[in-house]
Amino acid sequence: MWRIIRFLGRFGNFLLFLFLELIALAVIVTVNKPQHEISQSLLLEVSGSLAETQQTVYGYFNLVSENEKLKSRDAELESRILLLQDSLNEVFNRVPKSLAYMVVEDSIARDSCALQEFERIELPDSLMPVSRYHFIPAVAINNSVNLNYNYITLNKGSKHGITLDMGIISPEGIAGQVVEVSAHYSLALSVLNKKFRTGAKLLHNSNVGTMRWEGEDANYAWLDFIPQTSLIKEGDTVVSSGYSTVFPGNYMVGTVEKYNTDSQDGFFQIKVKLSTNFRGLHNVYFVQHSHRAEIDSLEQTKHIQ
Amino acid sequence: MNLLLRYTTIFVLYLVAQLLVFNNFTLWEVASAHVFLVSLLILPPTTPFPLLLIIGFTSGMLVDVFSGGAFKGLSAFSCVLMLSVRNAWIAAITNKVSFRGNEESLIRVQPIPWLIQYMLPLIIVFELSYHLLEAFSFAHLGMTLLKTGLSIVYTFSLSFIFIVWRHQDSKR
Repeated sequence: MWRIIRFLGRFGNFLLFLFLELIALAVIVTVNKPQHEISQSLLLEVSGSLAETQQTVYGYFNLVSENEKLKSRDAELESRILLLQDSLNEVFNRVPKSLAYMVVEDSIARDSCALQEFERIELPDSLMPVSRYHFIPAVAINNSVNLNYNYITLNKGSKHGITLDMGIISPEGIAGQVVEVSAHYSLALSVLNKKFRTGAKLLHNSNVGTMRWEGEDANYAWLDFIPQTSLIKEGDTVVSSGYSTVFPGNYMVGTVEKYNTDSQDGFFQIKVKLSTNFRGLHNVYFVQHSHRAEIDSLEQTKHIQ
Repeated sequence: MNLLLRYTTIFVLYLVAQLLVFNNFTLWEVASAHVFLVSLLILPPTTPFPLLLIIGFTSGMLVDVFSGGAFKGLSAFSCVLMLSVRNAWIAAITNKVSFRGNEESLIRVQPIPWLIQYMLPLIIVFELSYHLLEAFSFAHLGMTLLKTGLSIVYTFSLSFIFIVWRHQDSKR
């Protein structure tokens, strides 16, 4: 006790100084909006770089399993390419050879290989399929699943073109949405967050509902507002609705684990098994919609009226 | 008690002057005058350090709270910072051997060069801290420093006039 008093006697002035300055600083960064925003992004930058250092160390221990995952994904994509190639071949075989925009530049090589002919087909620009979604690969450097409000820290920020409200997907399914961006890092609301909401639908009949998480189990979420008139069975696939620019449509969300018709409001209570493994979240992608600003401003005008 | 009442009254007067008059007189919206600092600068040098800090924090907070629109907490932080170096600064620039007066009236009787030497660095500390915290980044450092420089000149001139006029003995 005497020591404490002596310590206070010696450093009391300095401690008081520190205490008052910290209070003033706390007031500055909580009350004032610009200072608040700057300090938030500064904090994200600091905690992000710490988490990244940690991740580079821990990452070595997961290399084997990560490698396995990537290999299996590679194989899956390979098989899908072959499948698509086959169906493409089939389609082109049905197309008449005299089709107007099939330009064969070299008549000698014409019959040498069927595939080469397809490659020379030139469609007019208006007919070219345009992908509206771009995916920016990133790594989750910090992630929790045990809280009520879980967040994911990612190693890309505004310098890499990340903006607020972008969606985050993992190879297995949807994962979250960006809520805070600093220069090199960003913070995303995880699907496992009570504040998270997104549109989701049953793949087989396109009935759209709202998905939420109740904070119980990292493997399950709830799908609301699917009317009891729709057909449903356990194991049905749930995908993203595509009614927003956050996630691409028909992207995997999970499968129906169980459902009940207890409620009187005419809607199912559907428990969805999430396909994303949030405990081992590592490689993820930011979803960038190229016409997003246009769509947002269009929808904004309707709200104003 | 008499002393406390006296300085409280002086502070309240400066607070009112600051809020009603000087907050509205910015130079080209760039330089601002923090004339209430006079009420902190004239505190007796014998004031205990902890009391000094608490006075600085309270008065800064009061100015922040009552100035509508201004950022909150900036004056409180800067006042505490300024007053934390004040006593050490007075000790450093005052020749104790030649000074034979009552320490409580130190500021009342010191000559003009001493007064400038005393006030200017403290006002620089205050304004630098205030404007850097207001910008809260080094992004537009040039503009921040311009604001700081002009505010130092503006605040110093007005405070100097007030101290010489009201808080110094007329015959030296």
